[in-house]
Amino acid sequence: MYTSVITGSYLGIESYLAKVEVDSAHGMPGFELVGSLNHEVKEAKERVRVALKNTGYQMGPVKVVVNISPANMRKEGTGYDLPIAIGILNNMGVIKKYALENILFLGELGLSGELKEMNGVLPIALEAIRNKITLMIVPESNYEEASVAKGVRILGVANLQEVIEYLNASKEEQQGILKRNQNKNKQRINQCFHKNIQQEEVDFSDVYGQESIKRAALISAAGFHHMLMIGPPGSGKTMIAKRIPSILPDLTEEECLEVSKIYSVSGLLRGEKTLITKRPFLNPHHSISPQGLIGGGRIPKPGVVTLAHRGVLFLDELPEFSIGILDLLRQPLEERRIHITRFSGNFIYPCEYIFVAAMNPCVCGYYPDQNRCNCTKADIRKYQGRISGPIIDRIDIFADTNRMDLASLKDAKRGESSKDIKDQVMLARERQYHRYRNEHIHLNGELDSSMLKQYCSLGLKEEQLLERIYHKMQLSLRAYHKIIKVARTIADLDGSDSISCSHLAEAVAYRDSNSIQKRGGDVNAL
Amino acid sequence: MLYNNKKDEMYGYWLHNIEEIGNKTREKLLEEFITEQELYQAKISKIEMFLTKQQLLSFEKSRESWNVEKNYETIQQKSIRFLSIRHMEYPEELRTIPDPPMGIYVKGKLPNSKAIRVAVIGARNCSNYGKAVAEEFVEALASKQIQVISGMAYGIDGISQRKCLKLKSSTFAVLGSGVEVCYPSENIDLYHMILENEQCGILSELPPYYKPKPQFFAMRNRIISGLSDVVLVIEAKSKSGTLITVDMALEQGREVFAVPGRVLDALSFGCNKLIDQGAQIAYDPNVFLERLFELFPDKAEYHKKGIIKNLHRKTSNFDRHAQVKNVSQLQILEELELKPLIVEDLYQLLSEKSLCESLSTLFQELLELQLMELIYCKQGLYFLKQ
Repeated sequence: MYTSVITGSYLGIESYLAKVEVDSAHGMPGFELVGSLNHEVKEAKERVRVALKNTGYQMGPVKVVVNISPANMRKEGTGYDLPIAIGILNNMGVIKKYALENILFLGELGLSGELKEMNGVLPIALEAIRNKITLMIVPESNYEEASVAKGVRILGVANLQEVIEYLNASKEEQQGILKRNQNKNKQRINQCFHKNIQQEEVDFSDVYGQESIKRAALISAAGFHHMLMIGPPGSGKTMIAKRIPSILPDLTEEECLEVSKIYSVSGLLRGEKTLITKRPFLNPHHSISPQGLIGGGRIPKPGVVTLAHRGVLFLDELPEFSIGILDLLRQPLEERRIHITRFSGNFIYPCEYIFVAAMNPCVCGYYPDQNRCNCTKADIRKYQGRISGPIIDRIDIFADTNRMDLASLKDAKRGESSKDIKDQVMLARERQYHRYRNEHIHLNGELDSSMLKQYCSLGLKEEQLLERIYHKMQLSLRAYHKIIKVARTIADLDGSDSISCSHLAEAVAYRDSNSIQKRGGDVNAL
Repeated sequence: MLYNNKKDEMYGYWLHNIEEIGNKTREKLLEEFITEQELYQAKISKIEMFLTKQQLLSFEKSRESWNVEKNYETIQQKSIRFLSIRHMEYPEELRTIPDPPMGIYVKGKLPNSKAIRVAVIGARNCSNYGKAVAEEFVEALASKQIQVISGMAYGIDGISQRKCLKLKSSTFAVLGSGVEVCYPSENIDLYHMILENEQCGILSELPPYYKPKPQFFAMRNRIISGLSDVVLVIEAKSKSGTLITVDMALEQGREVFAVPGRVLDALSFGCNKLIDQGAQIAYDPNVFLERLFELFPDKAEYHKKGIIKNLHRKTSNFDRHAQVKNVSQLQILEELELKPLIVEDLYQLLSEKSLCESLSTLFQELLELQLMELIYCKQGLYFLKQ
């Protein structure tokens, strides 16, 4: 007797449908699993056997052979337990004929027959819709995640018995079960949703004073410019970085699914979080490993850069990261995606994020305040020199933070709320979307030098001013381009079609005035 | 008894390169044997009593293996001379200080003892004010061809020596490393400029290729003050290496001058404290010159009386304000006069006086002032250019 059951799986962050073929025959009793399986998939045979027994179905002395196809793809995960069990039950004649058509089964079995939560349900659901599957039977705790993908009916089940009951029910009864299941889960979703809404969110109005850095953050968010904040400890660098996602435009529905898919395969869509609706903010510690940063494993799990997709990647204490780790960021920053090659194939993960970093200007943190800083020039150079040039090259905005003293903190007004700032960002972004409608880029931060000429032309007066700046401040050509790019965003925030002198003046203030890039330079010119 | 020939120089170089034998032992040996050549030829029985067993072994080994002529030839090819304390040309003023170096390596010239020598020293992390002051004082000294002695370090040292060379006056660097090693390496240009100049020189107590070590710098400081008639301190924090030099100078009986600074700056503390403790106050380069001539009337003759340049002392920054016509720019300059500020504070101060509409207009004013080179920005702080 032979049965084929549909299930789904994922490789990297891409999902595919798989077929579980189960054959039961008389002969030497046994249980074989084939199809390029990982050890946790092979262990399914014990789980399935015991779960069936405890649900009330003894397998008897048969030889069971299970093949999971496509057989050449490496299978991982525990979602194959349920389809295997269903295949065996069907071979035993427990399930009605033709009951399995167009149904996708997914779930890990416990020994008692209960179904357990698993990873990657959302991408599989999306794939199921593409393949015109009509029903997905998933563990109850994955119901919400699966239901995020609209276009397929979901049945959330608690144990194997419920699955059998559903499959053996008549058409009308089945409709009833699905309705009841939906209502039950809807109530739960509503509760969770309320909890999510009530959850406290960080807001820019919590930041008192620090207007210039808030402004830098606004420009960074509006034009997709990577930003580096330099300043003494306790000057609010981390606080501001944490609030940048709150001023980015809301994720569109498509983007929500895209980000949620990544989180689903990483096993981070658990419990109440069923859909990522907020922009991610990732803040890895500087002891992070290369695999943790860009993704790793035999079948690579998405790393921090991919988890930060469509959000903000924040590296605090930038010089503490090893040079090797920072250099790994070059490809993600340049191409906005990361290629990982492993034995099991090539994986391309998206990683389009705003890169925000923070650092102290020196070891003690107080340079150039000579009343407090005791670092020597060599110390400072060594500290700042830990950041490699290519990373600095990709940063457009350098914002200097300064410690607020208590007195000025008391006087400071509560700042603009994130919502007000976000509105400004949206307006500025709309201008950019419109301007670059015929290009493959969307925002100013993505401009390259050839496009600068076309989209950021300067008037005669502005050109002269910039030339003066270029010579007086001894800028590099790259710094010159960065100033124009940032000025373009400032003009967009201003609602202006052309870049004016005041836009340029502000952009100059966000240049690399410390020459971290040049490090060294004229040591004797203080 | 002093000698003045090349042969003795060679033996001097030998004695200073024996392992295990330090300054104190060398002093003992030289008291007994007068010149190094005598020591080299002496019988072992006469030397035994001055050395420990280990030192004796090393001494014997060195006498056998050291090629006196050839080794000295190699450093001479680098135009380095070695002057033992027994040498006639060894600087007279060093001979009399407590714990004098038993020998000194010279690349280039030695300071002229007929002329006044001033040690100009100060913080490595000096402020813009310190830089301006150092340059003013050095300019006055250079106008009288007074020699400047310093340590070729970052900050005040390097700034004053550079200025000296620019004005074609003579300057001498005493290093905390061998004379063939340039430390800090960023000052390599200064190192070469000193060597190219015929009136200048580089000195050190250490063998030519010794790398700098922290303890060498304190030793070096005693030579800086020892070679000088007067020590001028420009900027120093409360705990500064500069103050070590001052202690040495006082021990050696040198006169100390300190430039006063603003009470709120940490870099002024050391100097102001020195004044409190009785250092002379160097408040004006010309007055300083006059003091020098009063202190050393016999040497004053050597410095032909020239025209003393008038100091450009700024009175409430009149010149600066003349360039600026904009009210808010004037206000910015006035605020920065007091202390460096960040944009934030400037914005607050200016908007209180309703001189500034928004951050972006302030940025424009600041840029304009930067382009006029009246202010500069470092790490988000805006400083007034001195």
